[in-house]
Amino acid sequence: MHGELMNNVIVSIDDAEMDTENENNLSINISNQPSASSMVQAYNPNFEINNSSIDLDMYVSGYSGLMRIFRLIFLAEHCPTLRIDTLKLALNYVMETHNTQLYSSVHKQLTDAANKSTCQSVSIPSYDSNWVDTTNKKGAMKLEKLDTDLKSAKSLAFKDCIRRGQEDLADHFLDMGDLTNALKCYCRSRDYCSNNKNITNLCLNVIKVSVLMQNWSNVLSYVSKVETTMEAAGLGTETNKEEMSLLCKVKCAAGLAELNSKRYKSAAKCFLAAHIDNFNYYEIMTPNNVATYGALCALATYDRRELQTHVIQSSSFKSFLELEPQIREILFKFNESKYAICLKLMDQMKDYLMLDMYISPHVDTLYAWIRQRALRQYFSPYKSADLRRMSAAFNTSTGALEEELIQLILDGQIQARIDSQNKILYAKDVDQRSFTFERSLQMGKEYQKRTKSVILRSLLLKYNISVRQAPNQQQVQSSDQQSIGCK
Amino acid sequence: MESLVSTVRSFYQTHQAETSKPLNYQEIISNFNANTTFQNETADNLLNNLVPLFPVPEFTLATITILNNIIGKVQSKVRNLNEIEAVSNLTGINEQKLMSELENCLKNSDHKQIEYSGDMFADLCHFYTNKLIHLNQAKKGLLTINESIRKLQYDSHNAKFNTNQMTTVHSDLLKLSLSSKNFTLALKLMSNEILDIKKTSCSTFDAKYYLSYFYYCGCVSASLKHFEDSLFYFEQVLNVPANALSQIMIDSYKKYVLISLIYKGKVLALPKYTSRKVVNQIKPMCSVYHELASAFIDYELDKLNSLCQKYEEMFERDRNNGLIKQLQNAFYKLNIQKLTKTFITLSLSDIVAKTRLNSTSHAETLILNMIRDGEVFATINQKDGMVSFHDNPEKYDNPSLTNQLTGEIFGCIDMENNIKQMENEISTHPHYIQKCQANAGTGIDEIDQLLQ
Repeated sequence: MHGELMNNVIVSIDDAEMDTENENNLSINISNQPSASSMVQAYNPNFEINNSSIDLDMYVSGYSGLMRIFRLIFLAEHCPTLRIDTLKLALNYVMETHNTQLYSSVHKQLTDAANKSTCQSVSIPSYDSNWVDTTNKKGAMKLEKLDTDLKSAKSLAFKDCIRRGQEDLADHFLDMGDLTNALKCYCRSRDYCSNNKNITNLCLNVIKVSVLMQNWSNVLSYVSKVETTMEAAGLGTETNKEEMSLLCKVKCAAGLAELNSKRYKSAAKCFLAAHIDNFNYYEIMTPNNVATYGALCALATYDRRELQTHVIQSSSFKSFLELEPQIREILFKFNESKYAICLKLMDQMKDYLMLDMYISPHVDTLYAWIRQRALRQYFSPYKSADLRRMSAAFNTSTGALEEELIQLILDGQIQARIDSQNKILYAKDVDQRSFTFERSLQMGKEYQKRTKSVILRSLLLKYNISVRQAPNQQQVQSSDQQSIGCK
Repeated sequence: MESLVSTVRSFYQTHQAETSKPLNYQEIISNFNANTTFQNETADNLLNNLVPLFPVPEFTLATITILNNIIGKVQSKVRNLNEIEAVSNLTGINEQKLMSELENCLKNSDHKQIEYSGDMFADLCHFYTNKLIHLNQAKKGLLTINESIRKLQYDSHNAKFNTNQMTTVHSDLLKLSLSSKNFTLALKLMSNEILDIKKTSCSTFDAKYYLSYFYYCGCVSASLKHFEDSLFYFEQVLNVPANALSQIMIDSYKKYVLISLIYKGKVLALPKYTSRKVVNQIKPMCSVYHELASAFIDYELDKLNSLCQKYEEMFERDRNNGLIKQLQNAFYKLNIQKLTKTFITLSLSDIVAKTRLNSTSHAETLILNMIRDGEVFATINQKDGMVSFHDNPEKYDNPSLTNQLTGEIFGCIDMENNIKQMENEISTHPHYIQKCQANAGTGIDEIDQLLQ
């Protein structure tokens, strides 16, 4: 049974990607009403990026635990040049755990990759079936031991012991890669929590597992639980180091969840609330991640003033930004309205961002939003703007710029019209009087329609007329209206 | 037979004897229904021998009942036929004679007597309509059915014709006018606000007639390119409270999707109060139309055209091929209208590229037509092939606008009065008063009650 569940770890990664893909498809279908995202292409989860300059050791050193392995696998999937190295590294890390299922799957991928590669000199570690067997045995033994421990604790009805027993069991499940059972055990220990600290600790554990399982709604609900618990206890206001670190963790997890639910503005808000001094959340993310995610989400959703006060002038976020100089540069260039450099820097960063498992599906959307925001900001002080100069400022051709502007105008984000002959963008001056007349006539019509509908509906209710299932007929009433259609 | 005639006459005569009282039609009709003698006669026999004995309008009730019996006998009994197929083959009767008798009856009947046999009279109308459509002589019935509707609307309480009342025959008139492509009477009928529905003990009202009335209203408006009205009517069909889906609703939804694409360029959402059942079930049943819509919205001309071709047969079967053709035209028109929002000037060749038309000459003629129809405000400069788009020249400062505005305002006031009248009816309704009195001392406000 555990074997089955352990499969879920591997499967869940694929599922999550499928989900994001589906969501993207949906959003395209729904985009009947013009939205800012209508320019964005659907996210293709099978992209590959060839030349990446990631220093693997550096990259990996930031993370710990299962997250490190997941990130490596993600890298391997999308970056063929690094595939073999990453998988080898991942294999090493898996050997430190009891997760034999993951070991087999990583090893299989590694063999596949080695077979595909043209270079003959690749040496891959052979499949260590010995290790798998002993680890399986060890895992089972430990499980049994923990189980009996828990049972004895339960028979003593000693609350704290039971809680610890549950937690140990959950930790072990996590180690074996059985996330579903880990989550179950963590949740079960809830009944045995005696103080606030236990509760927050429990919530953190649940959040961690939920993040690994990509169950974002669960993350958010437990984040709010932690916050209310801390609020009720009056914690978090003092500058207690441990609590600050806790708060920081919660904010980061919430940010991640919001990011993945495509609520970029609240994601930015969460990331911006994190503090670097007490940052200790390497099992999920690094401070570099916080800087990147926070800055990109803020750029895409904050207006100029918000950006200035909450991001540029925020002392706590500044120290995060120091870690990612390129992101910092993008932010400052955007704020200085040097869009060409800003966009160029963003393009340079794109490959790197695409290889980040959490922001990857959102890069295109965020980039498109940032670009639109830049265009809007550029045009806002003008009554008419020369498209040639504007295209120079945005590092693109007039034709491409025109296309972008058309989209923005149609979405109602820029009030302007283009003089294509002279290549000038004119701000639209709206004749308020005509506009009012137009609107009021429209409203009048709308009112009449609604009132008619109301009258008809009340008639239907009054006479109790409704479409009902005919007792012994098919569901669909056969009728003759097909025989006459309109021409 | 003889005895039957004499009994019928006696019904009438006994009442006529007491001339001081008006005829008690209620009693006549119940006597009639109790009398089963003519159920054993053949249809032909009844038509030839019995009907001529009862001239209308005096013997309206008798004629209606007999004709109904005849129809019941001759109509095809096969199930699963639609209404028109059901009347296509009449057995054992002289069709022409039957139709002329029917016409005579519908035209000359006495509206006071009809009130007591609403259902039977309406059935005659339905039969007559369907038969005419089958014979492709729809035009012949327009006036007759129009007159029949008026007669059915007679209300003996107020002794007047309630033109705002909906009857089951309403849809018949629209059916005839669609079939004959003659919309004068239909439009007149549609312009009457519906403030009541004819539903009494002797005239039932099935939801089907409500659905088909608004469905046909939508079709009539669509034929005349009154797309806004058409959308409104189809919406009414979809908004009927429902716990099952009717084929009429499905067909309405298909047309609704197409027309809102043609008219608005997108699929309008249904109102919030549309029944859950309808919202959930109707979309999967019209998946092709949704595919079409998404191709249209995403500017995928090739996909749109290939879909139109692929499902041509289905559209033909749904009788939507005309709308599909309009949809394909609307694709270009909407694109050009979008360009006017974003451009002040644009060369013809750019327009061709942006709207995926075939050639500049095609673009030019299309824009010329649109300028003529007032769908776009532009001028074409043939010297350098530039099109300049202008703002709407309507400045809202001419007398005709004031006139229109006044008209609309009066329309709104009328509507308001209708609502007030309906409210009065409710607040003076015995049930309502009873309920209010019951709650008078308890402190439960009537508004609270409504909220609950």
